[in-house]
Amino acid sequence: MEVKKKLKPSEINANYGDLPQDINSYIKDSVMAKQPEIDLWDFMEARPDKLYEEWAYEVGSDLTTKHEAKTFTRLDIKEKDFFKFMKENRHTCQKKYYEARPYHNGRSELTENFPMKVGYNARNTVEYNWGLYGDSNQQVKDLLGTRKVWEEQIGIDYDTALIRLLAYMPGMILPWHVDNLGNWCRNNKHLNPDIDTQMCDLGPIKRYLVAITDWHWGHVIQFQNSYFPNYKSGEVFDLPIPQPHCSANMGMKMKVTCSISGAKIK
Amino acid sequence: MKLNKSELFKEIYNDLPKDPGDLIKNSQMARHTEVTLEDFLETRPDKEWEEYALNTGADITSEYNAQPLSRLKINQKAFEQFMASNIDVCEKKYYEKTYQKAISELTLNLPMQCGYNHRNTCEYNWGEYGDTQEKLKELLGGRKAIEGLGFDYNTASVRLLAYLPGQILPWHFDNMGNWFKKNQGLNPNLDTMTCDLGDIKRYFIAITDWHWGHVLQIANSYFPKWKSGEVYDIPKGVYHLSANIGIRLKLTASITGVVKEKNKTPPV
Repeated sequence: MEVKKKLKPSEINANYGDLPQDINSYIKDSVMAKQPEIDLWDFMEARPDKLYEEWAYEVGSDLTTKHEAKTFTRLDIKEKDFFKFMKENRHTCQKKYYEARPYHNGRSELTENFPMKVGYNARNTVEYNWGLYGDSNQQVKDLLGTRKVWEEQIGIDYDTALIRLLAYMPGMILPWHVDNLGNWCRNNKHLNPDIDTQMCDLGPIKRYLVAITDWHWGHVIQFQNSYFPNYKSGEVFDLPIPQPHCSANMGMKMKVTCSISGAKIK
Repeated sequence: MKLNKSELFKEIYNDLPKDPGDLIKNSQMARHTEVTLEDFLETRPDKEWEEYALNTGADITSEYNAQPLSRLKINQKAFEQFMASNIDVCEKKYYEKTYQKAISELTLNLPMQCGYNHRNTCEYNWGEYGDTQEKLKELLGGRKAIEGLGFDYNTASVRLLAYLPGQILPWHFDNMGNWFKKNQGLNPNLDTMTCDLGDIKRYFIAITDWHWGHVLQIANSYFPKWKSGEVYDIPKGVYHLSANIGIRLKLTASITGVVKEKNKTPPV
């Protein structure tokens, strides 16, 4: 497919607005939850995949690039502590579907509504996450390690790091997308973040992935055209920006991971 | 405790409903309420499914290196045309118990308890209703192609499977229930996967090229990025799953039957 124009990360979805104050608004006001089923005949008639694919090429997708994911450190974490946290912090959990949120802008797959048009819906894209509301960012940071672990092992500035603890139940999918660290950039404007160069006043802006649960059947992460290895709890991987990827839990156990966005200091 | 598959699957499948629309009309899954994270953490429905899988041959270490056995000449457009003109004989279903018998993840209702539902397990398939079986055999290249793969043509059974983005076929092993039901006269044995004519096999045929998010996991390994027409063996009794977590439609076919002769059509 011919690529019309390569989009810079700042054009895709970087300049995020404020978060809604009501944490339940994502479900209450969801458009996706009201979307009727796209059946095979609708799909074959309208071919909504064409525009999604065209956009995917604009943001750097191709069918050949490989990515060899390698863990660069392993944190000493206790899976049980994270499950305890999840059970006790329902009030700070952002439950959402894969659709545009009020703070999104730019030309992203979400603002263009591509996933919904190809068949993603409120029963196959449910994500539960923590890190944006209440004190959940601080609590999960502590679960990942002490300030010393952050500074010496993870190598991300502790004070400005933004984590997201992500729980995917069986049957739930995070469709093809690129990361733009919009929430981190909005929260750290004082560091003059430039998502196109992936730099800020403290250093390079990074996104890491921490496996909270061990890999299990059906826990898939496809990055570019390669699959992640069968990871172990505590392993940390770099997720280079802005490279397309998708993930899903098509198994039976909970898939719990944590992303870290922040400035690399080591 | 390892369970004997032939014991679990000794009951023969019920007949298919005469009207393929009944599968959706009578679906329990379509009426099932959402399983939330809170429900899941409270009841831990995954434990029973995992135990069942481990007792029926799954493990967390075995690898499988999938290699194409052959490559058929596929006219992708002809398959799309076939689909569009055979809506009335399409079996649309969700991953739930319908005509299945025996003791399986479906009859135990494990996927639904873990969160699978009618909006993430929707499958469209052809091969069971109307004259679709014969038409599909022809689309794959007819007797020459199917016998070329070594199958007994008359007892070979083809299914064309369409998965839209967002749809998953969860963790399972193939018990070939429909094929066993139709071919009881050949004394098929699920433990040895043999019958009076020879080895019972299931092959996977890619109709569309692999694309982003088209995933097939067998044992603890992912399938390579297949090309349209490539044929792969699905090893007997080995757990696997597949999904379309991408953008494009994922179209595959399977052939189930007796492999009597050597494959005469090695990979192109």
